[in-house]
Amino acid sequence: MPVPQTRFLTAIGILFAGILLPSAIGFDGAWAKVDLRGRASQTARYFLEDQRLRHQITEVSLRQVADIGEGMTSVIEGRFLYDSALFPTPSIQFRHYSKEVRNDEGFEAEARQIYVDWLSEKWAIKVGRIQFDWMDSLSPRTSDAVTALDLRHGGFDNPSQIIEPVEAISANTSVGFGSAEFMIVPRGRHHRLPKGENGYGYVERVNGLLGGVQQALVASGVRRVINPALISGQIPVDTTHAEYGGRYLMSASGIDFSAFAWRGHQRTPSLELTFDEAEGSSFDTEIWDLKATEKYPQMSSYGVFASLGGEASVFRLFSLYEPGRTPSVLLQDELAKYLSPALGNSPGFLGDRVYRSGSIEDRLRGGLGFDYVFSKHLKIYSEGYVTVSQVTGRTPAGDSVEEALRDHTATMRLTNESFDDLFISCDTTITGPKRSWLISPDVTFEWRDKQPSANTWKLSVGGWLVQSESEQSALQILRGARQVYMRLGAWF
Amino acid sequence: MNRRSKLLGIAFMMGLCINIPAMAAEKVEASVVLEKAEVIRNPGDNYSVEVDLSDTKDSKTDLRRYETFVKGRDKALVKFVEPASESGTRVLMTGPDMYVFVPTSAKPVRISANQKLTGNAAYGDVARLSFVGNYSAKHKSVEKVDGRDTYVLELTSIPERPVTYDKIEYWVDVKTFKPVKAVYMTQSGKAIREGTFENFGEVFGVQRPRIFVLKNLLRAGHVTRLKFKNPKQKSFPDLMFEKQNLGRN
Repeated sequence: MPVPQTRFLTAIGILFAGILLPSAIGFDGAWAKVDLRGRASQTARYFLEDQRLRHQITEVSLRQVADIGEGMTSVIEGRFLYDSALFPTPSIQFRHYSKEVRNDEGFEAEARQIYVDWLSEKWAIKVGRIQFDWMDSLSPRTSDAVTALDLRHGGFDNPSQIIEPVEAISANTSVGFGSAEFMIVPRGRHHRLPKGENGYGYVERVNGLLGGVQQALVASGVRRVINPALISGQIPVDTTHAEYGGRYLMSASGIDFSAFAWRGHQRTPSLELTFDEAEGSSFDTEIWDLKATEKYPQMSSYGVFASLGGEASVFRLFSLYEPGRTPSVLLQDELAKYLSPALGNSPGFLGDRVYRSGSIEDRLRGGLGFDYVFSKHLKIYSEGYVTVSQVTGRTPAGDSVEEALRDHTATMRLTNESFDDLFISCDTTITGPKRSWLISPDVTFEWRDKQPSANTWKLSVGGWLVQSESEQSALQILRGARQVYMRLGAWF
Repeated sequence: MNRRSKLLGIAFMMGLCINIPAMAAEKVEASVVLEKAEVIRNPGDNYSVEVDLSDTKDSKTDLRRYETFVKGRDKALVKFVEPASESGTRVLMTGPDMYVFVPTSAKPVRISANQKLTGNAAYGDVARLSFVGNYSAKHKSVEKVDGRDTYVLELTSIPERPVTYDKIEYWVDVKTFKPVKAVYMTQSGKAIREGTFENFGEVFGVQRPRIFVLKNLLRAGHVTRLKFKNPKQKSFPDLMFEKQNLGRN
């Protein structure tokens, strides 16, 4: 059975099982209070460069919340996506979509959340498939260790749409002056990236890397048939790779404070480049495989947050320490020997910092945020952070290296609510030192019958413009994502 | 000292003798009046209530529904029920801190105290947080409102408390201590809204207002009406009012 169908049937099965859960468990209070909500939307996205439709996504979401006992609630949330632009018509070949993209993005049915939530005097416990985000910052992207994101479309969407759900057990209880929360995730998830070129740059970047390495090998005098390939990796599912963490939260004198420690995996893949003789290679025709293998090494992450709210302002501070990371591109020793004549002692290669296998990166990130509400006509939400990475390892030439790298990101969101049914916003993000910037304006018009239970309709029109001065920019996954979109949604 | 000065002195002393106890009594009385009025206005320290909000502006009416949970005098949770597009949104007020959870954001976010709700109403109005403990009271005058004698109290917000308005003038029935109306003001004393307490009925054994009407004094014809219904007395766990649990159902 094809994978999408299997996924669809599994999701439907889980949803129906979940909907019947309250009765099945036999709670007396089952169905005493059941709330079923839905949302349907149609989104069209056009890439400006191509002047043609690239994605047309129909989405239906259903969310059911049922009280199943004293302090106990079940939540079931499903999402169905269909990208009609990927429908296999004769015109699809002109849109450059590979079969991998069509399989991965053409149709999807998924249980986004399905859990039982129990709240008592002493404990608050969640068990099941949940979404969570422990970062007390504007964007869930601030960390690359705790929450996995769906970045197939560049990560543009509401956090709840792009946070990858995980099966987890979460327990929260009061301790001292605050409360402590513990979580175990038996099967960690990594960022979800497109499986083929879909207009957002990840596969383009990997292909560029592999193509560049291939050219460098040829330039170095390697006279062999080279097969480049991207090998998708997974986080292993076993007890040693289970993820877990805890955090402590407290408020004192109007200041919120929280700190967490998390043992998990890198969410963005580290690409390990290898160059080995392929099966079927012969003395006459040497065939070698050039592989970029996605790896998600285990790592720990520690975060500290504080926020202070005033009459019209909110001030935030955070720090994130991620020791023992693996650099984004590593070269196998064998491959490095071939490449070092071309690369010399420079670790930079096609926009990526390249080191030999075994190199380690310690990352420290510090940031602050400031929100200010002038009036409904202007609200400002902003955040900036600086990241310092200390890399210890070997260059492609094999020399020991210990270097500190620094980059920064600043983001600002302006909103306007001057008109009752109109919401205007504009997000701007600037990264450095290899500067790139992103501007994303959005205008949303809402209308509904002015009855409490009436459906609501929203029409959003907006766009994203990404400009990078360097391939080494932090926004490289969004490379070329200059597009406009229009979304019509209905809530019922 | 001439005769006129003596007379003035005697009059001053007599006035002082008369006024000292009266002023002292008034000072105590203002807080007592506020306590008694708030016992009537608020169903208690631990309760939940559904709120239907209708906001009328330029002859158009927008209807919304909320469910509020109150614990003590400084903790309140407001759940958005209708419209469907806002269902699942939560606002938590705990002490001077305020947080909002929007389902699309997947995590609670701290917001500043003056983030309004909709129309004239603020989160504090929907949660119906008690004035006691959040405002200091003093007598301003005694006035007749609709033929009833009322105390007019001047309430000033206590720093670091979860209040929506800096100052309030609060009219309380002299005989029954029922709240009659309130005028909400900015720090500078500019009146911005007027609220009236209506539709008194028995709630938890006491005659309490079940409708609160807020008029925008800066924009004629903009009226917000809050109808409180299905009140339930219940003690909620402290964890329910923790920021990290705001997204729970």
